[in-house]
Amino acid sequence: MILILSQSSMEPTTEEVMDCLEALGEPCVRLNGEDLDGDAALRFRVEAGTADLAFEVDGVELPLAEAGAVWFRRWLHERRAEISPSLLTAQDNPKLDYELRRHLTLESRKLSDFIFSRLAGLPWLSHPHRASLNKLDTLNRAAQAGFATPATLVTTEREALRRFCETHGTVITKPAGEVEMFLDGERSHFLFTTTLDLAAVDALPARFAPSLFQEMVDKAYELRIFYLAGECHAMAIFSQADPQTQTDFRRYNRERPNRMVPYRLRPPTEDRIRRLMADLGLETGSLDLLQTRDGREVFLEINPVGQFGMVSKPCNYGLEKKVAQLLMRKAADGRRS
Amino acid sequence: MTSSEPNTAGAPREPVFALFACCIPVKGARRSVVCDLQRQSFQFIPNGLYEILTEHAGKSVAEIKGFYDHEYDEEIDEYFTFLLHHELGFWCGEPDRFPALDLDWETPERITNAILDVDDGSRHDYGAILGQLDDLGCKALEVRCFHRCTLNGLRAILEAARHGRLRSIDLLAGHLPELTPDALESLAREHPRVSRIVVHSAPEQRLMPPLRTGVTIEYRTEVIDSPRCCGQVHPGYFVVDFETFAEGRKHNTCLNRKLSVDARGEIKNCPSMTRSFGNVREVSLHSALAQRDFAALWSINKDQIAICKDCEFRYVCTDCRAYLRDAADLYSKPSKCTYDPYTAEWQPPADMPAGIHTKGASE
Amino acid sequence: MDDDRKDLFERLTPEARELAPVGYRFLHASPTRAATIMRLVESKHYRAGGYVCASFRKPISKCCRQDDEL
Repeated sequence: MILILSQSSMEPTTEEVMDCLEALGEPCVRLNGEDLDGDAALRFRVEAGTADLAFEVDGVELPLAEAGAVWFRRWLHERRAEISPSLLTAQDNPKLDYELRRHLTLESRKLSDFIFSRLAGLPWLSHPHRASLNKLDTLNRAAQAGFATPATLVTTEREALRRFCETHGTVITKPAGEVEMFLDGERSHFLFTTTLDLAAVDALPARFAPSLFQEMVDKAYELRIFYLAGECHAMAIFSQADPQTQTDFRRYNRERPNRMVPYRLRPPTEDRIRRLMADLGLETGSLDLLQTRDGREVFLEINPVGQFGMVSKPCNYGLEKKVAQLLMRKAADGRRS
Repeated sequence: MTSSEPNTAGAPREPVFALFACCIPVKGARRSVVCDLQRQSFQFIPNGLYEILTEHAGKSVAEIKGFYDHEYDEEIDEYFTFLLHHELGFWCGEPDRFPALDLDWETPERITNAILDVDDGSRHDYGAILGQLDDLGCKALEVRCFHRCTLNGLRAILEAARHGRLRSIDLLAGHLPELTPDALESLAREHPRVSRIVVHSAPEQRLMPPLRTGVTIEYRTEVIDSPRCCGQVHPGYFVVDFETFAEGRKHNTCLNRKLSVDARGEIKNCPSMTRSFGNVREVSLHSALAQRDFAALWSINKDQIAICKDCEFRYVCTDCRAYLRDAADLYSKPSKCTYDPYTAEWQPPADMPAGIHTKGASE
Repeated sequence: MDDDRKDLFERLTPEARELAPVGYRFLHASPTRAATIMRLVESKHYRAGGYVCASFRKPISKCCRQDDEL
């Protein structure tokens, strides 16, 4: 039986993998992050030398003990307590309100961490404690694995940034950590990769919070590669033609979506990817590369827990089924050992 | 990294034109189309361009022009301009890196879609039927009420689907005054799986603006009082997307993985067929499906059907095997199709509905 | 419906709005695990504009005459 950790909404890929598992005859149980918040009855008890963890849904206990493998697809938005408008804390006191919400976030994180540790003995795809990447570290390792990487600078100094721009021309900035979405009443703000030219740099204060900058690589197209247990599944994204998507293809153009087509990587590239993923201890992940106009491949970043539907569907790679089959193999291997 | 010797490991070749893998040419008797599976539209192209895109794929423009003895140089340039303008392809320096789209595709579910017919004589156990559809993995259901159906009647059907696996439910119901836009909107909100409501036999034609959730509610004056109304073939029913195109290459795009229960409870491929596999009150859907003949028609695709096999729309058209031009010939074209691929004309001509992006009906 | 979720649709990004709602249930009967219940995911309270479901966009029946103008 496969235990799937997910969230209760916006998860068509989870549902499709569950469809495949069922068609292949493997039962699965889905635990959503929201179950920690009261969607399910939670009980963790340590008593008289024994400990047990249980979730109950509609009066029936989820058979966690029968899980043979775990698929970590998503979890709850860790900081949901901080954004939930219906959570009434100290509305007249924003600072206290913030601190109370932050406390709830930390509590929730501790509980999640505990659940993950409790199940750590099972085969996972992939365990969140092992699948946490640092962008800067990853760039470093990619370079060591033989990839070309964009020139990168993290700095607090405008002058350092100016010199960087003078050397590399147009520069882009993006978060060093996670791409966030900020809800502002009725609107949402999303951190897209953005370009900076010298004029924009001049407008900055002399010193700012540490920020990440990279040379903007002149691309012919982008490559998104879903890596799964040694296999690379690549897709090319043609975003250059459309000014809206040129810098960040996530600024989707609904009228004329960017072209996304299957792509065949060269064997040396695949080898490099395998080396890098092995070095990072990752069994799966989505890699973003660029193909420059003069034919070079440049490594950008890896998302260890990403949407693979966006590669699977346009290219018809059947990744949902491959993931289901891999989970079944892991459960079977776990039973044998 | 310029050098004067040839670099065999990837010397930049003269770019050739390559269609994007999701843009697939289909040849018809008189003209062809390029089906854009990603943007869900198609463009007409002349058969000459079809030949260039298929037989001469991978050749440079100069080579192609040379093949036609430079008699069509201007036309060839226009062709490529046209294709680029519609973003159907690109100048590709490394064609080896861009494989064709694999069109092999099957859903895991045995049954993906179902029709449930209801009239005022029906006595369906909706819970039982919908539960069994769930077990078969059915994703989409259309409930056709040929009679004038009360709101509570519709509600009873939808309640039976509340905890199941259906992802979309289309409702067709005969008009009653209580089926106001507000009442139907409310119904759709109570039951988020509802994707479309069509009220037939209505006093006037009215298409409501889609709800915020995407549900469409429509009133039509036409009377849809039996399965005989089905089987229409019209560009409005064309679907240009990957799943339907892939399905159309191998299977019958209407009957594949479809199961129906007619108004009397008879289990059939579709309610317009005569062959019954049992009555749902006595026989389970599962055992009906298990009968060897149940899926017999699923593999009849357009390439096997007379006239349709020469039609450029054959992979985007949803077929009908129930109402045939020649009732004695299972491989004859649908009787309600008025398109003639040999003249490229609809009789009478059909106007393209909004949403299908075609570049001129005459090409 | 939770108050929390009521306005969630408005706050979704365009990408999130493209996704379909799902109601989901597995039933798995097995002699050794008679009591095993698969996770029920409630039908979503919101759905994307104009999108039916992931792999099902084609018409199920074709009863309506198409209007000459839309």
